[in-house]
Order: sequence, then structure tokens, then C-alpha cells
Amino acid sequence: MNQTFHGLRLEAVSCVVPDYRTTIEDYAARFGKDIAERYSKVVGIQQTFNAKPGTKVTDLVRMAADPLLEEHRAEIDVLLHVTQTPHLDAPPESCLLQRYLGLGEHVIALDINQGCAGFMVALQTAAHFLLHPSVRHVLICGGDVLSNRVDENDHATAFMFSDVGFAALVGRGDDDWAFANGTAGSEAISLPHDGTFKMDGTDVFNFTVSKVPEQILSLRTPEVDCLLLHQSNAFIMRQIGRLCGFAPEQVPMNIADYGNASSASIPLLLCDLAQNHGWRGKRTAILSGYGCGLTWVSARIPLDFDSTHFSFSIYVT
Amino acid sequence: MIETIREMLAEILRREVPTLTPETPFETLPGWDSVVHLSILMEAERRFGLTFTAAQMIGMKTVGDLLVLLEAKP
Repeated sequence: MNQTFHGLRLEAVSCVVPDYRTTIEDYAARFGKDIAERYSKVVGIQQTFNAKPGTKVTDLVRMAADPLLEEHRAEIDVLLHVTQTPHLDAPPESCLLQRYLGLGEHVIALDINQGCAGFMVALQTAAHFLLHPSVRHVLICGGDVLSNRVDENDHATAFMFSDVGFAALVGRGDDDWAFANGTAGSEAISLPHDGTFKMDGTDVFNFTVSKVPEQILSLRTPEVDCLLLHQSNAFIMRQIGRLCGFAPEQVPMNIADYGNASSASIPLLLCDLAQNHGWRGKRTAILSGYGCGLTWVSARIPLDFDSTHFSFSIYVT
Repeated sequence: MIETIREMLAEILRREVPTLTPETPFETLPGWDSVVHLSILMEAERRFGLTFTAAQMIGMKTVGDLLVLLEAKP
């Protein structure tokens, strides 16, 4: 389904990253030099950053959301919390965050469990809420602590995830946001209730190189100058960029530095580009998140790296 | 040509690769997994100058599937 929303603005994005690092050398020591070399070339991950045991996603969100709330706390009418690793089955973490973040009791608080497409699902949901004039701002927040939910003996998934928290503020402005979304139920990527992360690499690859480019191309216009992808796998991202007609420099990646940050992947890329790679001025981007569900959601969004407030910080674990 | 593919696979897998036929599925090779499979696609692009469509990547299941593309290359 394709939908366009008018009069929106991405006002701020903030990310926090723990300082505990695991490197490709650690991975090689565990699984051998040959496997590590192949993994490094294909997947592209050189290091990940992991939260200390016992860290909750809400802990990360509280740190990430803090810079965004000073000015707009009272005007947040909807809270969308994106996670697939809540620390409780109930109550919803969005409700807890209403209290932790000091938001009003009038707030609509929802949890969104949609994996690596979660941020994009939340952006589209925020756009829907802002259709109603009573909604002034939507706070999207979330992240995952996945590093403790992997099989340490599985070389394909043991070194994959960084645990990152994010927050993003969406309000009213002059921008049109055009979305395309897709859903195809599958357990090709799964996180069993009391088990570890599992992925059928072949099925996921086939889905990613067929459905995602098709969706991106449905949104591509001549003004689009960059493609910001969920950071899943360097080889796959290069293929998506190529299949969609983007030059490599139009498809920035930070998977080498941060691995796969799940739902925080795209907010982390935005903050990293703004804070650490000098992105300035206006761009017309296609953002694309894809993964568990299977879900794939892309959006053509005007970005302004001068007026949107981006914040990136590393915290001591 | 099939010998060239065998050499490429031996380098990727870092081991001797048994005799191949066009019918040999990549997933039956010792040490194969999904990361190996992407390595095969990546190395075939680099070594043979191939550019795959999405359908070709998805359909690349046997040695013969790669052979057909190599033989069709001008």
C-alpha cells in the first residue's frame, strides 16, 4: 500500500550507544580466522556495542529521549515505543515510559513489535496520528537489547547486534512523507519467547533483494539523492542500492562500526551521519526498514540536517 | 569453465571441493551456509565481472545456474 501524508516534520532524533565493544578479532578468536574473514567481507560488521547484563530497553530509551523532552514534553500526545525485547510481557513498556518520561496521562501509548522495520512502521503510524488536529507531537522511541538473545555457538548470528536506544520527535511542518509498506507472514526471522534469535539466511536474502528494491523503486523520484537502509548486511545493502539505481556513495553505511541495531538502525544512521560524518543541508531520502514479520516499509522523506536536531552519545556501561 | 568455478569455491571454502557437475547444488558443498552462499555471489561478481538481477541471485542454486550466466557473458 502506498500513502502520502502532508504537513509533517522530523524535528529531532537521538541515539545512545553503550561503550562495551566486541570486535571482529573477538569473533575470529571464537570461530576461526577463515569464518571471520568471510563474515567480515560479506556481512561487513567490524564491531558491535553491547549493553551490560540486566539493561532494559527502557533504560536506553530514557537516556535517548532526555535531550528531546525539555522543550516539548507537555506537547507530546502520542508515544510509540518500538521494541521486540521488552523486559515484561505486561504492562506495555510504552505505559511505563509515560511515567518514566513525565508525560501527561492524556497520552496515547502504544508498543510496536515489528523488528528491524519497526522505526519505519512507527513513522507511518505517527503520520496517521498527526492526521487528527488534536495531536501536536508524536514521540517515537525504542530499541532492542538483542546481544543477550543470540546463540553464542552460531557463527551466523552470534556477532550481529548492537544494543542501541533511540528517540525521535515528529510534529507538523511543510513536508510530504510518502510511504510504501508490505507484510508477508513468515518465521524466517524469529525470536522465540524463551529462546534465541533465529534466521533462515537464504529465505531472508531472497526476500530482501526482491521485495525491498521493488518497494523503493515505487517511491523513487528524480529529487531523491540518497538511500538510507536498515543496516542488515553490507553485501545485501550494496545489491539493494545497485538494483535501485543508486551510486554507492548515495547509500551510506555504518554497519562496520555498529553492526545491526535492529529497530534503532535507521535513527542511528541518521544521527551518525549528522554528528560524525558532517551531513548538512537538505536532502531527499528514501528510508527503508525491512525484516522480521516479514515486514518492509519505506518512505520518501525530505530531511534537513541543519534544522532537525540530531543527538548521538555513547554511555559508559 | 566448471573447473574455474571449482577453484573459486575451493578458495571461498578454504578446502578441497569434490568434483562438480552442473547439477551440483551449492548447499551440498561441505561447509556451505548462507554467508558462504553470499560469498559465492560476491566473488562471482568480482572474478567474472557479472552483474546479477534479483531473479538470477534468487535462482542461483546449482553450479549449472552459475555456468549458464558465465557462458552467456559476451
